[in-house]
Amino acid sequence: MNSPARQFGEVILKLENISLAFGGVKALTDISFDVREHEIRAIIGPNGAGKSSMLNVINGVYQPQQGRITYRGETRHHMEPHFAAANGISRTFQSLALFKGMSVLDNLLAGRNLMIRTNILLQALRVGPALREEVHHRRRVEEIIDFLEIQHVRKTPVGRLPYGLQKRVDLGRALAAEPKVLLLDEPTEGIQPSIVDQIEDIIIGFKQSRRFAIVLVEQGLHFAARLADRYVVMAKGTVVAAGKTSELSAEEVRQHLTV
Amino acid sequence: MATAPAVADTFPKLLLAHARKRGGSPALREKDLGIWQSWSWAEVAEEVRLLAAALVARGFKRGMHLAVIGDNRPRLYFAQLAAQSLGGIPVPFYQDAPAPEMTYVFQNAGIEIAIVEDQEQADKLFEILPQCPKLRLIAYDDPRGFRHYHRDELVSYEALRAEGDGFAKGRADFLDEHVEAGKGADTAIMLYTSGTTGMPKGVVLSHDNLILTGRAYAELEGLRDDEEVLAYLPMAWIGQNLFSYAQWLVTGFRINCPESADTVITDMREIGPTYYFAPPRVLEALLTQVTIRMEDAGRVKRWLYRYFMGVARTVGSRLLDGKPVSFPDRARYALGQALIYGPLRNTLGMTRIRVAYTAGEAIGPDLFVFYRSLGINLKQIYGQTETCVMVCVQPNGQVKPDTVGPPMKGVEVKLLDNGEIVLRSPGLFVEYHQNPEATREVKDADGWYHTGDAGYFDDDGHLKIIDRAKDVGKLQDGTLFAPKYLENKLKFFTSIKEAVAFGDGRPEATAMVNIDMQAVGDWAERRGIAYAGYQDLAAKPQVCELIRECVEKVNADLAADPKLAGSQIHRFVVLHKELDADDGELTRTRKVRRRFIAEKYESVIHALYTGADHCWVEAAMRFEDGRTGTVRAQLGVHAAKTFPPAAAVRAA
Repeated sequence: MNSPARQFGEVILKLENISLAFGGVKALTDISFDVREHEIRAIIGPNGAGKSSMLNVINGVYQPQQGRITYRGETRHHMEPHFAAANGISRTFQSLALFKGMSVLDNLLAGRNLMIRTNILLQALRVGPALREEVHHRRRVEEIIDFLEIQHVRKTPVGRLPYGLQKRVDLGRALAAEPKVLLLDEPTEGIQPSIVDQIEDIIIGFKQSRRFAIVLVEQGLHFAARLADRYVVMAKGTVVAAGKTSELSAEEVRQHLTV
Repeated sequence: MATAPAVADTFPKLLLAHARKRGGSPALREKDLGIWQSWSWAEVAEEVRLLAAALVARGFKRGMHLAVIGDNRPRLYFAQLAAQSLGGIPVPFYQDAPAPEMTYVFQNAGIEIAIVEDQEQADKLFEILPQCPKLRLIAYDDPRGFRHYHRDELVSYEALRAEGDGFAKGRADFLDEHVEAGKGADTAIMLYTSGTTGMPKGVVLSHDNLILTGRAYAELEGLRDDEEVLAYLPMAWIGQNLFSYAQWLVTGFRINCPESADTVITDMREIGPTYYFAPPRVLEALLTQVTIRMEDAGRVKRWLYRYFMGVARTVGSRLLDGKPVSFPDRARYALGQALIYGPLRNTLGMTRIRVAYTAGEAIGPDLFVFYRSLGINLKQIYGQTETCVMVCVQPNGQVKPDTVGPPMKGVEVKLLDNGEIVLRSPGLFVEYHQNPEATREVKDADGWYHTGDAGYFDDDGHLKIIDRAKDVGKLQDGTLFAPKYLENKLKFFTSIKEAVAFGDGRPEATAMVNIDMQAVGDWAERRGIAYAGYQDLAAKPQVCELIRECVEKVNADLAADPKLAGSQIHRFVVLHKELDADDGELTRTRKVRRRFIAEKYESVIHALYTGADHCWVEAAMRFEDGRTGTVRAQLGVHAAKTFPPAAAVRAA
């Protein structure tokens, strides 16, 4: 990338000493790291390292037994899913979570559900403020469609699309919520190399837009290292390494890949 | 109105005339963010005025060239018009041309200013910038991806337009002088021929060339100002410049730019064009899609489709030509119209089409008849970039699938002894840019243009083209061999995307075949044949069997024609990769580069004639991201059945 030395903003999300257990099974042990505005922070690790659990802690689906989460200056013991969603934490899923029977357009509009202010009656009548609001939301969604270059499937039911395109739609849905922090759970899992390149381009586009921070969960270090500013390596529920990707040495890469 | 010239003889004058006469009515639409946005004639004129002002301020002068690079986009139309308003010459490029191919044109035309669509095109120009020191300004339309570019050459279209706004303030009529100074004989545009041999040549076309041709077609078909046209062709193609540009300005109809290349079909349905122009490959791709979808349909639908398409084939074209048709046939066609043809035309977005043209290369007769049998008045026209595509057109009511019709009014055509077609017409180009030698080669002292095509007139005076004059050859026994004729026959099969025939100076004809990934992929899926990719699929024995059937059907057809029965295809190979313009195997308009292929695939051709049952081939290929690599594969060589000539059968 020909970007100049990138400057990051304040810490937007900070996790301190998070521990999570399901009964006797320890999923996460004493995990701390932070995410700054506009950066991409990668969480790397093998299957079962606790990466997805970590995301679920961030957006409040799991409630850790110990630790603190500071999001936009507010410290709490755990997140509430609804609070997270309404306050700019949005995510994609490893195994997609889209409305298969609905069109791409409707899926993206659904992503903006929490931002709709007018009440259901006005919307049903499509009058005044509701109409203006719909025009606004449709415009934003169309901009996302344009950005992801999925115009040709705008009205196609998501279930009929190839998997790689569904991944893009899932990105679009997360984007439609206008996140402050975007959690990407293995965006390149299960898709062919040419589509990986497309997804990479899209994430680079996110980075250049400097609108939000990204937490990128990946098993493969190479993809994450190309995109991320900083990384956290996890194994068996603990953090084994962390730092800036620009300072990663070949030796370290080898080491982390074999954890 | 009083000051309007009697006859507008340049494009900018035409534009201003439209802006005065129908300023408020839409001239141009583009689908953006899911909505059709439109510009009225007055708005187009204003955009052009501002851009022209900016170009003047940036030192663009009469006679200079302006590069226009990108997909079919409104702002690129404005750019062409702005350049022409100032007496400059737009030079449009194919949007998928790789950077090295652009270098020559930039140097040859001495281009200083380029207007490009997006980052992709700008990147290419930065790549060739060191070789093109004259290039000093690159204006881009779509700002996406330019955030981290800090180059002095770059300026956004918006910024450029704002500069123009500043310059034009207080000089409301500055452009009128420039436009008035233009004459019909001035150069309107320069189009580089894709160059099947050697370096591309810049074909210089005058305003007269294009406007007279546009008028001739408009009169012939009675085109009006309320036609809707879909503008989706490459900006650098003569077809685009005649049908979506010259005729747009001549008649004042509306052009509509689709959202992206992937949405053309949907957008076409929304617009419902009344006047349509498509090269055969587009029509072929549409038919392939229809065929695939029909094969996936239920049994009843499939049966209905087959039955009524059969009816259409026997009746449809006759109805369109106004020939007598029996009452029961009419009734069956009417039923088919309600059940199949109507809905199908609607799906294709062709319900409102009054006239459709195809050109660029010969169209397979079966493909051609398919559209006509649906009641779509599709006609072939014949011409080259050098002739503004103004030579022959099939007349309404007398369309013969295997001819291109009689010469148009004002065009003189004669045939040389070797069958080559030569002609004179008002659309004939001025010259090749800075290449008098090449100009002399094709345009003789009396102004006759040598087309390089071979053909003959049939009994009704319709011209039949067989092939390029230089490609028409003879088998060893002296039988006529027209490779393109064979290739077109093969390519009509949905499973075959591209074909190259060999046979000149050989004992028999043979062919290399490219499968169509989409069609054959679906076919394999329905039969439960697993495959890993293109190369694997092409090598499957079942696929080779499928292709063999196609080849044998072609042979059976050829056997019926006494002139061509000798050139039946004896052996063939199915290639492991698609022939591609990026690898130099096709031109940008997807024409086969015969000599290049003969050299590159020498080992394959050798195997075709030595009786070997397989051969090894190693081919360099360029990936979409610009990297190159080699693909190595073993190809099977297959024999196809040939048939005794029909005449011989009857005699026996």
